[in-house]
Amino acid sequence: MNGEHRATKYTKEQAEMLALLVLMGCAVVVLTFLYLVKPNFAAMAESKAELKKTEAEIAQLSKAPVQLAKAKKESDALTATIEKGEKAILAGIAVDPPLTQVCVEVANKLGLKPAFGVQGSEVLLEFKERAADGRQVTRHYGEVSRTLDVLSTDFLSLCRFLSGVEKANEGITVAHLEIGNKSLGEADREAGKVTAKVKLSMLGIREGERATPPEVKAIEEFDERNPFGPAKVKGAGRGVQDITKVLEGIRVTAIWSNKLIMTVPGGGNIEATKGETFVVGKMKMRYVSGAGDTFVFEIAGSGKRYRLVTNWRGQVKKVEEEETK
Amino acid sequence: MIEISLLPVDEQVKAKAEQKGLGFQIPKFIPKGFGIAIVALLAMYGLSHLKASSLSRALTSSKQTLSELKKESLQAQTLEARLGPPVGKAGSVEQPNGAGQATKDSGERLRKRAEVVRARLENRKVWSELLKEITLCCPEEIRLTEIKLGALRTGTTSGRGKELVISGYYVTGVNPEMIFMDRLRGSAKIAAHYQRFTPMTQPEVDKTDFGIHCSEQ
Repeated sequence: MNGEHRATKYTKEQAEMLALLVLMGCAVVVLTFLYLVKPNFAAMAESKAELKKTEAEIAQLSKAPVQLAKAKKESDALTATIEKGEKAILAGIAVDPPLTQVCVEVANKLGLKPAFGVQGSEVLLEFKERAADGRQVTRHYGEVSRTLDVLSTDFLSLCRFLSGVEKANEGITVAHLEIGNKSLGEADREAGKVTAKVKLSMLGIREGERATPPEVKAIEEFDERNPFGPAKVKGAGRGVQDITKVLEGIRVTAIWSNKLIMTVPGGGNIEATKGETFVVGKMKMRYVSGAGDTFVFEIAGSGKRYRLVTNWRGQVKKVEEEETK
Repeated sequence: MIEISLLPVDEQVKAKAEQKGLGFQIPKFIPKGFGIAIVALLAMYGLSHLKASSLSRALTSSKQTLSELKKESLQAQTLEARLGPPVGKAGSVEQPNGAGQATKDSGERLRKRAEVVRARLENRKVWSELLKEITLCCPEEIRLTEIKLGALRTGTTSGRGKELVISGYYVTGVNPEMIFMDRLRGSAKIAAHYQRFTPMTQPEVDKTDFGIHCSEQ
Protein backbone atom coordinates (compact mmCIF):
# COMPACT_ATOMS: atom_id res chain seq x y z
CA MET A 1 0.00 0.00 0.00
CA ASN A 2 2.87 2.32 1.13
CA GLY A 3 5.13 1.25 -1.78
CA GLU A 4 2.42 1.86 -4.11
CA HIS A 5 2.02 5.29 -2.64
CA ARG A 6 5.79 6.06 -3.10
CA ALA A 7 5.93 4.59 -6.51
CA THR A 8 3.31 6.86 -7.48
CA LYS A 9 5.09 9.95 -6.04
CA TYR A 10 7.29 10.80 -9.11
CA THR A 11 6.65 10.66 -12.74
CA LYS A 12 9.17 8.77 -14.86
CA GLU A 13 10.81 11.97 -16.04
CA GLN A 14 11.05 13.25 -12.52
CA ALA A 15 12.72 10.02 -11.32
CA GLU A 16 15.21 10.23 -14.18
CA MET A 17 15.93 13.83 -13.32
CA LEU A 18 16.46 12.90 -9.70
CA ALA A 19 18.81 10.06 -10.62
CA LEU A 20 20.76 12.43 -12.86
CA LEU A 21 21.05 14.93 -10.07
CA VAL A 22 22.32 12.26 -7.68
CA LEU A 23 24.82 11.07 -10.28
CA MET A 24 26.02 14.62 -10.86
CA GLY A 25 26.40 15.11 -7.12
CA CYS A 26 28.35 11.90 -6.85
CA ALA A 27 30.53 12.99 -9.76
CA VAL A 28 31.25 16.28 -8.01
CA VAL A 29 32.18 14.45 -4.84
CA VAL A 30 34.43 12.01 -6.70
CA LEU A 31 36.07 14.74 -8.76
CA THR A 32 36.62 16.84 -5.66
CA PHE A 33 38.24 13.83 -4.02
CA LEU A 34 40.39 13.15 -7.06
CA TYR A 35 41.56 16.71 -7.54
CA LEU A 36 41.84 17.89 -3.98
CA VAL A 37 42.40 15.06 -1.58
CA LYS A 38 44.11 12.37 -3.62
CA PRO A 39 47.19 14.49 -4.54
CA ASN A 40 47.68 15.10 -0.86
CA PHE A 41 47.57 11.41 -0.15
CA ALA A 42 49.93 10.74 -3.03
CA ALA A 43 52.30 13.41 -1.76
CA MET A 44 52.07 11.94 1.72
CA ALA A 45 52.88 8.47 0.45
CA GLU A 46 55.77 9.78 -1.63
CA SER A 47 57.10 11.84 1.27
CA LYS A 48 56.80 8.87 3.58
CA ALA A 49 58.70 6.63 1.19
CA GLU A 50 61.38 9.25 0.64
CA LEU A 51 61.59 9.96 4.35
CA LYS A 52 62.07 6.28 5.04
CA LYS A 53 64.83 6.11 2.44
CA THR A 54 66.48 9.24 3.80
CA GLU A 55 66.27 7.95 7.35
CA ALA A 56 67.87 4.71 6.26
CA GLU A 57 70.70 6.71 4.66
CA ILE A 58 70.98 8.87 7.79
CA ALA A 59 71.17 5.73 9.91
CA GLN A 60 73.90 4.48 7.61
CA LEU A 61 75.84 7.73 7.92
CA SER A 62 75.01 8.35 11.57
CA LYS A 63 78.55 7.42 12.59
CA ALA A 64 80.05 10.02 10.26
CA PRO A 65 80.34 12.83 12.87
CA VAL A 66 81.99 10.46 15.32
CA GLN A 67 84.29 9.14 12.61
CA LEU A 68 85.11 12.68 11.53
CA ALA A 69 85.88 13.76 15.10
CA LYS A 70 87.98 10.67 15.64
CA ALA A 71 89.83 11.12 12.35
CA LYS A 72 90.43 14.82 13.14
CA LYS A 73 91.76 13.97 16.58
CA GLU A 74 94.00 11.24 15.23
CA SER A 75 95.17 13.45 12.39
CA ASP A 76 96.06 16.28 14.80
CA ALA A 77 97.91 13.93 17.14
CA LEU A 78 99.82 12.26 14.30
CA THR A 79 100.67 15.60 12.69
CA ALA A 80 102.06 16.84 16.01
CA THR A 81 104.14 13.67 16.42
CA ILE A 82 105.45 13.91 12.86
CA GLU A 83 106.28 17.60 13.14
CA LYS A 84 108.14 17.04 16.40
CA GLY A 85 109.96 14.05 14.93
CA GLU A 86 110.90 15.78 11.69
CA LYS A 87 112.25 18.70 13.67
CA ALA A 88 114.52 16.32 15.59
CA ILE A 89 115.93 14.37 12.66
CA LEU A 90 118.13 15.60 9.86
CA ALA A 91 117.00 16.32 6.30
CA GLY A 92 119.15 15.65 3.28
CA ILE A 93 120.73 12.41 4.46
CA ALA A 94 120.77 10.91 0.97
CA VAL A 95 123.92 12.87 0.21
CA ASP A 96 126.88 12.22 2.48
CA PRO A 97 125.06 11.41 5.74
CA PRO A 98 127.00 12.80 8.71
CA LEU A 99 126.81 9.67 10.88
CA THR A 100 130.43 8.66 10.38
CA GLN A 101 131.52 12.25 10.89
CA VAL A 102 129.82 12.34 14.29
CA CYS A 103 131.39 9.02 15.28
CA VAL A 104 134.87 10.22 14.28
CA GLU A 105 134.45 13.50 16.13
CA VAL A 106 133.36 11.81 19.37
CA ALA A 107 136.03 9.11 19.05
CA ASN A 108 138.72 11.76 18.59
CA LYS A 109 137.53 13.60 21.67
CA LEU A 110 137.90 10.40 23.70
CA GLY A 111 141.04 9.15 22.00
CA LEU A 112 139.25 6.07 20.70
CA LYS A 113 140.19 4.46 17.41
CA PRO A 114 137.23 2.47 16.19
CA ALA A 115 137.54 0.41 13.00
CA PHE A 116 134.69 1.43 10.74
CA GLY A 117 132.93 -1.30 8.81
CA VAL A 118 129.93 -1.70 6.57
CA GLN A 119 127.89 1.34 5.65
CA GLY A 120 124.22 0.86 4.82
CA SER A 121 121.38 2.92 3.48
CA GLU A 122 117.69 2.08 3.37
CA VAL A 123 114.49 3.83 2.28
CA LEU A 124 111.96 3.27 5.03
CA LEU A 125 108.89 5.03 3.67
CA GLU A 126 107.72 6.93 0.64
CA PHE A 127 104.94 9.48 0.94
CA LYS A 128 103.47 12.46 -0.87
CA GLU A 129 103.22 15.91 0.59
CA ARG A 130 102.14 19.37 -0.51
CA ALA A 131 105.05 21.73 -0.90
CA ALA A 132 104.79 25.37 0.12
CA ASP A 133 103.97 26.36 -3.47
CA GLY A 134 101.12 23.82 -3.64
CA ARG A 135 102.92 21.22 -5.73
CA GLN A 136 102.63 17.64 -4.63
CA VAL A 137 106.08 16.25 -3.93
CA THR A 138 107.23 12.77 -3.04
CA ARG A 139 109.37 12.48 0.06
CA HIS A 140 111.15 9.61 1.77
CA TYR A 141 112.17 8.65 5.26
CA GLY A 142 115.49 6.92 5.16
CA GLU A 143 117.99 5.33 7.45
CA VAL A 144 121.74 5.11 7.15
CA SER A 145 123.82 2.78 9.26
CA ARG A 146 127.46 2.15 10.04
CA THR A 147 129.11 -0.69 11.87
CA LEU A 148 132.23 -0.17 13.91
CA ASP A 149 134.54 -2.31 15.99
CA VAL A 150 136.30 -1.05 19.08
CA LEU A 151 139.20 -3.40 19.65
CA SER A 152 140.21 -2.61 23.19
CA THR A 153 138.99 0.13 25.41
CA ASP A 154 137.84 0.80 28.90
CA PHE A 155 134.12 -0.02 29.23
CA LEU A 156 133.32 3.37 30.68
CA SER A 157 135.05 5.07 27.73
CA LEU A 158 132.84 3.06 25.42
CA CYS A 159 129.80 4.30 27.36
CA ARG A 160 131.04 7.85 26.96
CA PHE A 161 131.53 7.30 23.23
CA LEU A 162 127.98 5.99 22.83
CA SER A 163 126.64 8.83 24.94
CA GLY A 164 128.43 11.41 22.77
CA VAL A 165 127.11 9.89 19.55
CA GLU A 166 123.56 9.31 20.77
CA LYS A 167 123.19 12.77 22.20
CA ALA A 168 124.48 14.49 19.07
CA ASN A 169 121.17 13.85 17.31
CA GLU A 170 117.93 12.16 18.35
CA GLY A 171 117.81 10.26 15.07
CA ILE A 172 121.02 8.39 15.89
CA THR A 173 120.53 5.14 17.70
CA VAL A 174 122.37 1.92 18.46
CA ALA A 175 120.92 -0.83 16.28
CA HIS A 176 123.22 -3.60 17.44
CA LEU A 177 125.61 -3.98 20.32
CA GLU A 178 128.06 -6.61 21.47
CA ILE A 179 130.42 -5.86 24.32
CA GLY A 180 132.73 -8.47 25.77
CA ASN A 181 136.21 -9.19 27.05
CA LYS A 182 136.61 -12.89 26.19
CA SER A 183 138.89 -12.21 23.22
CA LEU A 184 141.23 -9.99 25.27
CA GLY A 185 144.35 -11.03 27.13
CA GLU A 186 144.48 -11.46 30.89
CA ALA A 187 146.11 -8.07 31.45
CA ASP A 188 143.48 -6.21 29.45
CA ARG A 189 140.68 -8.08 31.19
CA GLU A 190 142.16 -7.17 34.58
CA ALA A 191 142.29 -3.55 33.48
CA GLY A 192 138.54 -3.66 32.76
CA LYS A 193 138.97 -3.38 29.02
CA VAL A 194 136.44 -4.63 26.51
CA THR A 195 135.97 -5.10 22.79
CA ALA A 196 132.78 -3.91 21.13
CA LYS A 197 130.87 -4.38 17.92
CA VAL A 198 128.40 -1.58 17.42
CA LYS A 199 125.97 -0.82 14.62
CA LEU A 200 124.76 2.75 14.66
CA SER A 201 121.85 3.96 12.59
CA MET A 202 120.53 7.38 11.75
CA LEU A 203 116.94 8.21 10.80
CA GLY A 204 116.41 11.16 8.49
CA ILE A 205 114.60 12.68 5.55
CA ARG A 206 116.36 11.89 2.31
CA GLU A 207 115.31 15.04 0.47
CA GLY A 208 116.78 18.45 1.03
CA GLU A 209 120.14 20.07 0.96
CA ARG A 210 123.16 18.19 2.27
CA ALA A 211 122.56 17.51 5.96
CA THR A 212 124.43 19.75 8.36
CA PRO A 213 126.36 17.56 10.80
CA PRO A 214 124.90 17.80 14.29
CA GLU A 215 126.94 19.46 16.96
CA VAL A 216 128.69 17.04 19.31
CA LYS A 217 127.89 18.22 22.81
CA ALA A 218 130.02 17.89 25.91
CA ILE A 219 130.55 14.22 26.58
CA GLU A 220 129.06 12.93 29.78
CA GLU A 221 131.35 11.65 32.52
CA PHE A 222 130.98 8.08 33.73
CA ASP A 223 132.58 7.66 37.11
CA GLU A 224 130.81 4.50 38.18
CA ARG A 225 132.63 1.28 38.95
CA ASN A 226 133.62 -0.51 35.75
CA PRO A 227 131.56 -3.74 35.89
CA PHE A 228 134.05 -5.40 33.53
CA GLY A 229 136.85 -4.49 35.91
CA PRO A 230 137.99 -6.43 38.97
CA ALA A 231 135.15 -7.36 41.27
CA LYS A 232 135.25 -6.48 44.93
CA VAL A 233 135.86 -9.97 46.26
CA LYS A 234 135.54 -10.40 49.99
CA GLY A 235 138.86 -11.43 51.54
CA ALA A 236 140.79 -10.81 48.32
CA GLY A 237 141.30 -7.15 48.87
CA ARG A 238 140.77 -4.50 51.44
CA GLY A 239 137.05 -3.95 51.60
CA VAL A 240 135.07 -1.34 53.40
CA GLN A 241 134.71 -3.50 56.47
CA ASP A 242 138.54 -3.89 56.72
CA ILE A 243 139.09 -0.15 56.48
CA THR A 244 136.56 0.43 59.21
CA LYS A 245 138.25 -2.22 61.34
CA VAL A 246 141.63 -0.53 60.93
CA LEU A 247 140.20 2.88 61.70
CA GLU A 248 138.36 1.61 64.76
CA GLY A 249 141.68 0.29 66.09
CA ILE A 250 143.27 3.75 66.09
CA ARG A 251 143.92 5.56 69.38
CA VAL A 252 144.90 9.21 69.27
CA THR A 253 147.47 9.90 71.96
CA ALA A 254 148.59 13.49 71.28
CA ILE A 255 147.09 16.41 69.35
CA TRP A 256 148.62 19.60 67.97
CA SER A 257 147.02 22.15 65.71
CA ASN A 258 148.49 20.65 62.53
CA LYS A 259 149.48 17.13 63.55
CA LEU A 260 148.64 14.25 65.83
CA ILE A 261 150.24 11.11 67.19
CA MET A 262 148.27 7.90 67.23
CA THR A 263 148.64 4.25 68.05
CA VAL A 264 147.53 2.04 65.15
CA PRO A 265 146.33 -1.61 65.11
CA GLY A 266 149.20 -4.07 65.16
CA GLY A 267 151.23 -1.77 67.38
CA GLY A 268 153.37 1.25 66.68
CA ASN A 269 152.93 5.01 66.90
CA ILE A 270 152.42 7.17 63.84
CA GLU A 271 152.83 10.91 63.58
CA ALA A 272 150.40 12.36 61.04
CA THR A 273 150.64 15.94 59.71
CA LYS A 274 147.65 17.64 58.11
CA GLY A 275 147.56 17.09 54.33
CA GLU A 276 150.30 14.50 54.40
CA THR A 277 150.04 10.81 53.62
CA PHE A 278 151.00 8.03 55.99
CA VAL A 279 150.73 4.26 55.89
CA VAL A 280 148.73 2.09 58.26
CA GLY A 281 149.22 -1.59 57.51
CA LYS A 282 149.01 -1.73 53.69
CA MET A 283 146.72 1.27 53.48
CA LYS A 284 147.76 4.77 52.45
CA MET A 285 145.89 7.43 54.38
CA ARG A 286 145.93 11.19 54.58
CA TYR A 287 145.16 13.27 57.65
CA VAL A 288 142.68 15.90 56.43
CA SER A 289 141.44 17.77 59.47
CA GLY A 290 140.86 17.57 63.18
CA ALA A 291 138.63 19.48 65.56
CA GLY A 292 138.07 18.53 69.23
CA ASP A 293 137.57 14.80 69.39
CA THR A 294 136.75 14.41 65.68
CA PHE A 295 139.31 13.66 62.97
CA VAL A 296 138.93 13.23 59.22
CA PHE A 297 141.11 10.84 57.22
CA GLU A 298 141.12 10.13 53.51
CA ILE A 299 142.01 6.80 51.92
CA ALA A 300 144.53 7.70 49.22
CA GLY A 301 143.48 6.65 45.76
CA SER A 302 139.82 5.94 46.48
CA GLY A 303 139.00 9.48 47.61
CA LYS A 304 136.82 8.17 50.40
CA ARG A 305 136.89 10.12 53.64
CA TYR A 306 136.16 8.83 57.09
CA ARG A 307 135.20 10.88 60.13
CA LEU A 308 136.58 9.41 63.36
CA VAL A 309 134.99 10.34 66.67
CA THR A 310 137.11 9.53 69.73
CA ASN A 311 136.30 9.24 73.43
CA TRP A 312 138.13 11.01 76.30
CA ARG A 313 140.88 8.39 76.12
CA GLY A 314 141.48 9.05 72.41
CA GLN A 315 140.05 5.69 71.42
CA VAL A 316 137.95 5.76 68.23
CA LYS A 317 134.35 5.00 69.15
CA LYS A 318 132.62 5.86 65.87
CA VAL A 319 133.61 5.75 62.18
CA GLU A 320 131.49 7.53 59.59
CA GLU A 321 132.13 7.56 55.85
CA GLU A 322 131.68 10.85 54.07
CA GLU A 323 131.80 11.82 50.43
CA THR A 324 134.79 13.74 49.06
CA LYS A 325 133.70 17.17 47.85
CA MET B 1 -15.75 21.99 2.28
CA ILE B 2 -13.69 19.10 0.99
CA GLU B 3 -11.50 19.58 -2.07
CA ILE B 4 -11.34 16.54 -4.27
CA SER B 5 -8.88 16.37 -7.17
CA LEU B 6 -10.11 14.41 -10.01
CA LEU B 7 -6.85 14.63 -11.95
CA PRO B 8 -4.60 11.51 -12.27
CA VAL B 9 -1.73 11.21 -9.71
CA ASP B 10 1.04 12.09 -12.29
CA GLU B 11 -0.78 15.12 -13.23
CA GLN B 12 -1.16 15.98 -9.59
CA VAL B 13 2.59 15.75 -8.90
CA LYS B 14 3.41 17.64 -12.05
CA ALA B 15 1.09 20.32 -10.95
CA LYS B 16 2.76 20.53 -7.54
CA ALA B 17 6.20 20.56 -9.14
CA GLU B 18 5.25 23.23 -11.45
CA GLN B 19 4.34 25.21 -8.42
CA LYS B 20 8.02 24.79 -7.12
CA GLY B 21 11.49 25.04 -9.01
CA LEU B 22 12.02 21.54 -10.33
CA GLY B 23 8.48 20.79 -10.53
CA PHE B 24 8.93 17.96 -7.98
CA GLN B 25 10.22 17.58 -4.43
CA ILE B 26 13.79 16.24 -3.85
CA PRO B 27 13.97 13.75 -1.02
CA LYS B 28 15.55 15.27 2.08
CA PHE B 29 18.25 12.61 2.54
CA ILE B 30 19.95 13.55 -0.77
CA PRO B 31 21.09 17.10 0.13
CA LYS B 32 21.95 15.87 3.62
CA GLY B 33 24.07 13.07 2.19
CA PHE B 34 25.87 15.41 -0.20
CA GLY B 35 26.42 17.89 2.60
CA ILE B 36 27.99 15.25 4.78
CA ALA B 37 30.12 14.04 1.85
CA ILE B 38 31.35 17.57 1.11
CA VAL B 39 32.21 18.22 4.77
CA ALA B 40 34.01 14.88 4.96
CA LEU B 41 35.89 15.72 1.78
CA LEU B 42 36.90 19.10 3.09
CA ALA B 43 38.02 17.56 6.37
CA MET B 44 40.01 14.93 4.54
CA TYR B 45 41.54 17.59 2.36
CA GLY B 46 42.49 19.72 5.34
CA LEU B 47 43.92 16.88 7.33
CA SER B 48 45.79 15.35 4.41
CA HIS B 49 47.17 18.75 3.49
CA LEU B 50 48.40 19.27 7.01
CA LYS B 51 49.92 15.81 7.17
CA ALA B 52 51.53 16.20 3.74
CA SER B 53 53.01 19.57 4.74
CA SER B 54 54.33 18.11 7.95
CA LEU B 55 55.89 15.19 6.10
CA SER B 56 57.34 17.54 3.55
CA ARG B 57 58.93 19.63 6.27
CA ALA B 58 60.30 16.51 7.96
CA LEU B 59 61.68 15.37 4.63
CA THR B 60 63.36 18.71 3.99
CA SER B 61 64.92 18.59 7.45
CA SER B 62 66.05 14.98 6.95
CA LYS B 63 67.54 15.86 3.59
CA GLN B 64 69.44 18.72 5.16
CA THR B 65 70.73 16.39 7.89
CA LEU B 66 71.65 13.82 5.26
CA SER B 67 73.47 16.44 3.25
CA GLU B 68 75.45 17.48 6.35
CA LEU B 69 76.18 13.89 7.18
CA LYS B 70 77.32 13.22 3.63
CA LYS B 71 79.60 16.23 3.85
CA GLU B 72 81.02 15.03 7.16
CA SER B 73 81.38 11.50 5.82
CA LEU B 74 83.26 12.84 2.82
CA GLN B 75 85.51 14.89 5.12
CA ALA B 76 86.09 11.81 7.28
CA GLN B 77 86.97 9.81 4.19
CA THR B 78 89.37 12.51 3.01
CA LEU B 79 91.00 12.60 6.42
CA GLU B 80 91.11 8.81 6.56
CA ALA B 81 92.79 8.84 3.18
CA ARG B 82 95.35 11.30 4.54
CA LEU B 83 96.02 9.04 7.48
CA GLY B 84 96.69 6.15 5.16
CA PRO B 85 96.26 2.46 5.86
CA PRO B 86 96.52 1.40 9.49
CA VAL B 87 99.94 0.28 10.58
CA GLY B 88 100.46 -3.41 9.93
CA LYS B 89 97.72 -3.59 7.28
CA ALA B 90 97.75 -3.40 3.50
CA GLY B 91 99.98 -0.77 1.95
CA SER B 92 103.44 -1.05 3.21
CA VAL B 93 106.39 0.78 4.55
CA GLU B 94 108.57 -1.68 2.80
CA GLN B 95 107.16 -1.01 -0.66
CA PRO B 96 107.97 2.53 -1.63
CA ASN B 97 106.63 1.96 -5.15
CA GLY B 98 103.17 1.72 -3.57
CA ALA B 99 102.40 -1.76 -4.81
CA GLY B 100 99.76 -3.45 -2.74
CA GLN B 101 98.79 -0.37 -0.83
CA ALA B 102 95.30 0.01 0.59
CA THR B 103 92.65 1.79 -1.43
CA LYS B 104 92.29 4.57 1.13
CA ASP B 105 95.69 6.12 0.80
CA SER B 106 96.18 9.67 -0.35
CA GLY B 107 99.91 9.18 -0.17
CA GLU B 108 100.47 11.28 2.94
CA ARG B 109 100.47 8.19 5.15
CA LEU B 110 100.39 10.03 8.46
CA ARG B 111 99.94 6.80 10.43
CA LYS B 112 103.00 5.13 8.93
CA ARG B 113 105.09 8.26 9.27
CA ALA B 114 104.11 8.71 12.90
CA GLU B 115 104.84 5.04 13.52
CA VAL B 116 108.35 5.41 12.10
CA VAL B 117 108.92 8.50 14.24
CA ARG B 118 107.47 6.84 17.36
CA ALA B 119 109.40 3.61 16.96
CA ARG B 120 112.71 5.33 16.37
CA LEU B 121 112.45 8.48 18.45
CA GLU B 122 109.86 8.12 21.19
CA ASN B 123 110.59 4.48 22.01
CA ARG B 124 114.29 4.94 21.34
CA LYS B 125 116.68 3.07 23.58
CA VAL B 126 119.50 5.36 24.64
CA TRP B 127 122.16 2.71 25.11
CA SER B 128 124.64 4.90 26.95
CA GLU B 129 121.96 5.43 29.63
CA LEU B 130 121.03 1.76 29.69
CA LEU B 131 124.68 0.74 30.06
CA LYS B 132 125.09 3.26 32.85
CA GLU B 133 122.05 1.81 34.56
CA ILE B 134 123.43 -1.72 34.18
CA THR B 135 126.68 -0.49 35.72
CA LEU B 136 124.85 1.05 38.66
CA CYS B 137 122.77 -2.07 39.22
CA CYS B 138 125.73 -4.44 39.08
CA PRO B 139 126.72 -5.68 42.58
CA GLU B 140 130.38 -5.27 43.48
CA GLU B 141 130.96 -9.03 43.72
CA ILE B 142 130.02 -9.46 40.08
CA ARG B 143 132.35 -9.07 37.15
CA LEU B 144 130.74 -8.85 33.72
CA THR B 145 132.14 -10.62 30.69
CA GLU B 146 129.58 -9.78 28.02
CA ILE B 147 126.66 -7.51 27.19
CA LYS B 148 125.04 -8.54 23.95
CA LEU B 149 121.95 -7.77 21.92
CA GLY B 150 120.90 -11.03 20.40
CA ALA B 151 118.05 -12.65 18.59
CA LEU B 152 115.10 -13.47 20.78
CA ARG B 153 115.14 -17.07 21.98
CA THR B 154 112.07 -18.81 20.63
CA GLY B 155 109.88 -20.82 22.94
CA THR B 156 110.81 -18.95 26.06
CA THR B 157 109.07 -15.66 25.50
CA SER B 158 106.25 -14.36 23.41
CA GLY B 159 107.92 -10.98 23.05
CA ARG B 160 109.33 -9.38 19.95
CA GLY B 161 112.53 -7.63 18.98
CA LYS B 162 115.92 -8.43 20.33
CA GLU B 163 116.99 -9.84 23.63
CA LEU B 164 119.63 -8.31 25.85
CA VAL B 165 121.94 -10.82 27.44
CA ILE B 166 124.19 -9.80 30.33
CA SER B 167 126.80 -12.41 31.25
CA GLY B 168 129.39 -12.49 34.00
CA TYR B 169 130.68 -14.39 36.99
CA TYR B 170 131.26 -14.08 40.71
CA VAL B 171 133.58 -15.77 43.15
CA THR B 172 132.00 -14.90 46.47
CA GLY B 173 128.61 -13.75 47.67
CA VAL B 174 125.24 -15.43 47.91
CA ASN B 175 123.45 -15.30 44.57
CA PRO B 176 124.50 -11.75 43.68
CA GLU B 177 123.06 -12.35 40.20
CA MET B 178 119.58 -12.39 41.76
CA ILE B 179 120.31 -9.06 43.44
CA PHE B 180 121.54 -7.79 40.08
CA MET B 181 118.38 -9.00 38.37
CA ASP B 182 116.13 -7.46 41.00
CA ARG B 183 117.93 -4.17 40.65
CA LEU B 184 117.55 -4.31 36.88
CA ARG B 185 113.86 -5.06 37.24
CA GLY B 186 113.47 -2.18 39.67
CA SER B 187 115.28 0.33 37.48
CA ALA B 188 112.81 2.61 35.69
CA LYS B 189 115.12 3.12 32.71
CA ILE B 190 115.59 -0.60 32.16
CA ALA B 191 111.96 -1.46 32.89
CA ALA B 192 110.86 1.06 30.24
CA HIS B 193 112.27 -1.30 27.58
CA TYR B 194 112.64 -4.71 29.18
CA GLN B 195 110.00 -6.36 31.28
CA ARG B 196 111.04 -9.98 31.46
CA PHE B 197 114.26 -11.16 33.11
CA THR B 198 115.46 -14.74 33.13
CA PRO B 199 118.56 -15.69 35.12
CA MET B 200 120.75 -18.63 34.15
CA THR B 201 123.45 -19.81 36.52
CA GLN B 202 126.24 -22.30 35.91
CA PRO B 203 128.50 -23.15 38.86
CA GLU B 204 132.17 -23.78 38.02
CA VAL B 205 135.02 -25.03 40.22
CA ASP B 206 136.23 -21.69 41.53
CA LYS B 207 133.47 -19.31 40.36
CA THR B 208 129.87 -19.16 39.29
CA ASP B 209 129.01 -18.07 35.75
CA PHE B 210 125.63 -16.48 35.14
CA GLY B 211 123.60 -14.84 32.41
CA ILE B 212 120.55 -12.62 32.65
CA HIS B 213 118.29 -12.61 29.61
CA CYS B 214 116.26 -9.42 29.36
CA SER B 215 113.41 -9.46 26.88
CA GLU B 216 110.60 -7.13 25.95
CA GLN B 217 107.31 -8.39 27.48
